[in-house]
Amino acid sequence: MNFTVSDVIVESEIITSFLLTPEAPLKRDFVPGEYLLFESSSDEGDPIRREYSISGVRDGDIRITIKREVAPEQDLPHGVMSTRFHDVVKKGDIVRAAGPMGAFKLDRTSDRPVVLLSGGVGLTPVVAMAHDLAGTSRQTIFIHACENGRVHALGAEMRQLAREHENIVNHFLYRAPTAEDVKGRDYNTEGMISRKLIEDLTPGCDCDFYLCGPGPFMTAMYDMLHDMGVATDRIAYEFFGPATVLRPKTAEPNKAPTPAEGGPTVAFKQSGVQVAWDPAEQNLLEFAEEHGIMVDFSCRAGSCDTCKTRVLKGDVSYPIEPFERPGPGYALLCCCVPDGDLELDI
Amino acid sequence: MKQQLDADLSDPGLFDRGIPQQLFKELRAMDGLAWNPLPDEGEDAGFWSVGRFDDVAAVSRDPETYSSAMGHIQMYNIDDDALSARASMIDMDPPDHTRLRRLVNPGFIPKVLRTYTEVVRERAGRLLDDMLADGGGDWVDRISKPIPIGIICDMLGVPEKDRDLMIEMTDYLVAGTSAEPLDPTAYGNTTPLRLLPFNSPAAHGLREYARRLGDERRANPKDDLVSQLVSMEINGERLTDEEFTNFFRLLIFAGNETTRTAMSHLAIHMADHPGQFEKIKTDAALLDTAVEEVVRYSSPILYFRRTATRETELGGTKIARGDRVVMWYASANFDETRFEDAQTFDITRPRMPAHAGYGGGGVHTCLGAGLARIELKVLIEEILARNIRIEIDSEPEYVSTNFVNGVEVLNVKLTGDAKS
Repeated sequence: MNFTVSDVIVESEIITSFLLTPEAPLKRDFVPGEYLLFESSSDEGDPIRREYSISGVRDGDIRITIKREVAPEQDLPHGVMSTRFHDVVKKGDIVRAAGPMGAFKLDRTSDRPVVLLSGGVGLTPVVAMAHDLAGTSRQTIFIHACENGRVHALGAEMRQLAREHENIVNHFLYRAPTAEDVKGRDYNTEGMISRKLIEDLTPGCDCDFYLCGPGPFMTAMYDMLHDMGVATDRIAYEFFGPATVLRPKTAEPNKAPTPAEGGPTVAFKQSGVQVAWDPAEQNLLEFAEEHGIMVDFSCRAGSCDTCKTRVLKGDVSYPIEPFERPGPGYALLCCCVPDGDLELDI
Repeated sequence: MKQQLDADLSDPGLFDRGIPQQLFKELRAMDGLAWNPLPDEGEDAGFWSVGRFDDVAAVSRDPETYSSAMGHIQMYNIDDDALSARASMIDMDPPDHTRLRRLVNPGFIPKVLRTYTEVVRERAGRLLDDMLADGGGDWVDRISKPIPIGIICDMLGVPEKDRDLMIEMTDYLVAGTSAEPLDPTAYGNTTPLRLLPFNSPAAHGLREYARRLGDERRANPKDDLVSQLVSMEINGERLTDEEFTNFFRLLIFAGNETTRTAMSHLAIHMADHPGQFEKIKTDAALLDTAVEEVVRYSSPILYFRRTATRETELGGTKIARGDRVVMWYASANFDETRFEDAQTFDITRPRMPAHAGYGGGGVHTCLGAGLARIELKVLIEEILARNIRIEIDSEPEYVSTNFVNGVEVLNVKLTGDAKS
């Protein structure tokens, strides 16, 4: 779909927002956390695609907030799409994008407190979440880390949001404040996000945590929350593009929590993951994959035995009848669901 | 004397008007399997034709008895050096097959495939709107070809400018199964054709292309499947150059020819049965069953072959070690003992019992089935959203081959409400 750029707002030295008017109403309202997929041609002829999170809406316009990506090393090119937005795109231009889409979404059905943790320009989707949560009964703690005031985007907007809504609390960290940055006015803490800071600011582990930022930031935050004892299905994080998840990984959930009250728990022993079963899932194979556990599979239809897995504790039932059920002590994950608490040898 | 059909199923000409339904009906009605001689390969050469669903499933599910690695997976035999030169996971049995499948599986799980839904929607919508503006055209060229190749190239990381080349080369692979001789020097080929998959010089072209792209990504990795395949280690081992290029060729072929075929047949069915598809607008559950029915009825891959590793028996017929066993998916999908009114196209047909459009089950079940389902589903949704009526303008032209049920040209008239 085409969007007209209705306004360009410089947010910091390196971050700029673009307000976009869709040519036709979107198919559905966006859920905070979702992104638009932009497409643009390049000199080589290959179209370039980039996902940019929606950082908010204003009078029906969608706002995206983009950081100018400079090359990490001298010989590498600058970010093509972000440079284009910063240097070329101006008010009145037409840009092309698909969406909204994305798996990182605010779970509006939960009533737990929310902790929004962001690093750098990763704040864009969580700012949209904060706007959505403002004025609700859910306590919302917005923790944002960046270099200093010169690159801090949307700070004034978040301060105003917190002033106007008592359920929103901000905490800004600058790694290296400049002479112009005033502690208490511009930022709260110098340095990085620590475990103690999270423990002091949040009401405990039973919150919904949303993480977004550069890779190392996310890894550090994820591990920290994990060490604090936050259940993995309470942690959702931004997830861009298909290739990112092609790398086999273990125990990296990216879903907002969807526990079933009093429902069965599934433990994946070798992966060290224990999660509440989600009754909306079709089968245990997909459920494992949703939680970042890759099980060998081929047919996904009960005919090849590739996903046959040892059951250590508990039992399964088969909503879909496989060609042949496996022997006792085993389960064909692609066809079965837990029948009570379950422990699997994967 | 081995029982035979009155026709030679190795003759691509038999498939020039689509699936030879009457012949397959006779095949299914036989007590055992039918022997199909291949006199060109020798006096005793030939293969067993398997036509009933249950027999196809039995072969599919038993790779220890019916091997993909021992002989060729197409009906004609090739030399051992040719077999090893072209091996990809489709020509392997477990555990080699499992090892390679593990490499690509993470890219094809539902969680990942879902992220393509909106990309397909955007692309399908744009192509449909363009075609509506012209009032019609060749559906194969305008819709069936660009959507699947676009997605598989997105996944692999093949640049936009090379996508037409990918289509051209995979078409030229299939041309290797027609009766027409191919130019052995096309795409700069110097390898003897007998060593190349489909005996086609395009296999050389795809290999060279894959090699260049692989080198590029090794030097400058991106977020795509090719970068993953050239860098990933399994138990400390990387894919060899040959394993990688064969993998690339397989994925490009399988990711575009098959879904393309289903999309072409979809248009034919929508033209023939507009009322059936109209029902989806008020009963969304029919979308899923419609997709399955389109795949069943189109049977994009007509057959694959296995080779018996030991003496065995199937459907009452004795099979010797080394015998070729050809599973006709295109027959199994119309097995009247499995599907009620099997010859009737009916989008309300229940999902179970399952069809053999993605294979007859077992470890070689189509890796991209989930992706194909998304592509077909979204295409149907976007057609319905535009109230498009499809009218066939001229008799469809089929690809001359007995391996895929491809449509070469499908001229249609389109009316409806464009969205842009």
